[in-house]
Amino acid sequence: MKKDILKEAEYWYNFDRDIFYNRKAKKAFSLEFVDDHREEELREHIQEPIDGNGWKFYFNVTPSESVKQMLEQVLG
Amino acid sequence: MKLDSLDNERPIVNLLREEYFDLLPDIRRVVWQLETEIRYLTLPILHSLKRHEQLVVKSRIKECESAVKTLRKQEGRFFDPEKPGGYSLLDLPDLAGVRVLVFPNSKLVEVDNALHEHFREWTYKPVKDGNTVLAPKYYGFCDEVSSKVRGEYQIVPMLIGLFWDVEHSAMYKSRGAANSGEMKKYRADVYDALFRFEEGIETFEQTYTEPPSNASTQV
Repeated sequence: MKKDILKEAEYWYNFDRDIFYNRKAKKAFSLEFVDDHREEELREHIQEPIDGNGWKFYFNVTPSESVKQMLEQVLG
Repeated sequence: MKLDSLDNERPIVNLLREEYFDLLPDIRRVVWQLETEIRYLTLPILHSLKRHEQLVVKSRIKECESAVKTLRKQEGRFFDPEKPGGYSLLDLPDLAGVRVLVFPNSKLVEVDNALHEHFREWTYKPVKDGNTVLAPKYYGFCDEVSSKVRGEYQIVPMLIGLFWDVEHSAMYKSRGAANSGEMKKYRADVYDALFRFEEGIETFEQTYTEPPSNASTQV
């Protein structure tokens, strides 16, 4: 199950924001994105390297820069 | 100094709170009007209920914080500061809501027809579980009392409605868990059990006959 894949990869769930996140990997998946993508796709996204030092947000609709900044503050 | 993330959202949230209290008199008028009309329209059904049947009309006004939270739907659950004017509580169809609980399920169509006659122009948006309609739901305007705030009514099998009350309290904070595959399965199991219970009661009521009053004296 998707939840187990994320748990195995040490992703936590933020209840206020409905986001799965991993501070070390600096990646965050929205609940909608997880719902709408297959397990294999999710695994691929968990594995893929990220560019730079910022967070990577896996959302169905790309968040605006302001929202990205707010999310980064919340996720730490 | 770095702004806290909530500070970025605060102007939008404050605007929405202000809007809520501007709308509150209208919301109250709509819920009173809708509840009164629904009670009146279902009165003949209420008076004709059999001993085991029930019809309960409940109304509620959506709380301010709940309305703001519902509007915060976009992924990440943030209001985007880049479009502060892009949000309005009037987008919510359920600020004023009435729920009609019926038992058994066979009463649902009768109530639905009685109300639909009166609210013909209202938009139909049923509550579904997969492809199964659990409860007919409608929203629209009570023109006599407000041209801004819409009302919503739904007709719900009583057992499911009571289950929803408990489920909502238990799962309110954890949408993710509520939508997980496991919980969806448990929920489907509950619906199935409740439907079977209702069928059982109805079959029993149709086939059961009272023993004659002097049965105990017969040999």
